[in-house]
Amino acid sequence: MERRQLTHEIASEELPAFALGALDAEDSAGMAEHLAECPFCREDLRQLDDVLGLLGTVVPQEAPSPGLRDRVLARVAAEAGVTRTADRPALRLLPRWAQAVLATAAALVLVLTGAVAMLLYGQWQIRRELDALRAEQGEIASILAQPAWWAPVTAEAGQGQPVVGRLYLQEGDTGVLVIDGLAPLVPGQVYQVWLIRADNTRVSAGVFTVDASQRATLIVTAPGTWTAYQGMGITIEPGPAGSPGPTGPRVAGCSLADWQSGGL
Amino acid sequence: MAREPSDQELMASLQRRDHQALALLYDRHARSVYSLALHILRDRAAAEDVTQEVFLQLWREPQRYLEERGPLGPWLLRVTRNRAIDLLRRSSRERWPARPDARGADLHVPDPSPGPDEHVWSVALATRVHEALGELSDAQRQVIELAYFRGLTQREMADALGLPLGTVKTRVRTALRRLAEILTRDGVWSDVS
Ligand SMILES: [Zn+2]
Repeated sequence: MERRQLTHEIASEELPAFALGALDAEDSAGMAEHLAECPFCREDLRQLDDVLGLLGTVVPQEAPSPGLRDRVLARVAAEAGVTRTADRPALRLLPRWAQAVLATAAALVLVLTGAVAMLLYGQWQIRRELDALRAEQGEIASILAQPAWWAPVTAEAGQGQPVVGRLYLQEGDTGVLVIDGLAPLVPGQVYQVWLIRADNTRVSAGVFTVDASQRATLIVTAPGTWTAYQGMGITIEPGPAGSPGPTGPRVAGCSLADWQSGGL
Repeated sequence: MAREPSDQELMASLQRRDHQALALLYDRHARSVYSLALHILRDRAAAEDVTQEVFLQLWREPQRYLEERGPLGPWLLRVTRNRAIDLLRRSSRERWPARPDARGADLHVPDPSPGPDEHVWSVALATRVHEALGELSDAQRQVIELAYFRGLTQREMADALGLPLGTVKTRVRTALRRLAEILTRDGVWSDVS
């Protein structure tokens, strides 16, 4: 759809509402376009933003619990210690466009019967953003086109939200986790993926969050090879780096005994 | 006793990964950040989560602040407000727009006694901002309250208040412009940094 081009006069009138976040999505998008081109409106917005910062002082003042200070500073200290490893994520959250690739693959899934596949397909929308695909497209597409195995990912019994997904694996250490129905997290939390060794110890394979659609599509890289692991679990942990070992509730997972050989 | 470092000096230390700088900034700003989040979310645990997130983000990405000009305190409150409103909208999307409390602005002057470590900037400023709000009409204060603290869009406000959208738009525009004018007129910016 063509969006009307905003004149500077109209943009200037709508800027206070934009600063407050009180415009509808469509109008906000129009404003954002205008702001990209108009230095006067950018300066105007900066001044309105300053006013909105001041407005935040006009509420009853109350101190947070003393424990919060300890928690924040402990997290900072912990992160400072683990920055090196956190900078090397084994798992990346793919951008939205990657779902387009998966939608194509999901069309193949449809030839199989099974509620999981149907559900996944029903919730994917094919997007016209293929021109935005970059390097990871090839990686995901190749894994999904010819996975060596896949395993159904099921919700943990007793958890409220239904979770359905699949973990697609290739020989070696690479896989794609496609998961749907994970509850949105409160700020500061992440989902963390654990690979379970034969001796039941857990190895972190990275962290991710879900968007409002409650979907995530990610590349998972196993330390070593997949053969070293008997399963996978997902827990909720403090973000952004996750925990050294699982501490939060397990929300979903799959077992090595459930691996199915072959492709889609 | 040595002069206390300014926020700007602490931010420079923060960039050099100095934990102590974050601790000092926390002591200075956590109370106003938490209070704003609590006022919006009306839930202590959620407000503490937002507070934690705001300070962890400051630690992880100090350049986000450094790219912008201006004093740190109001900037932190803007970040806090946006996070809290995001959370509020996400958690109450289904119920929204229930009838928000549209009676009038419940804006307060904060308790004038700061905590032991509290920087006085927010207390002094709150009084100035409160006075400026007093120069607005009730109708203008109301739309600012609903948009800023409740996260309502103009359309949602029009529904909640039973007013034409155009009327709400005019009120929002004139209210925020007028507030900016008054604060500039009163030289509030010289008090901030
Ligand atoms: Zn303009």
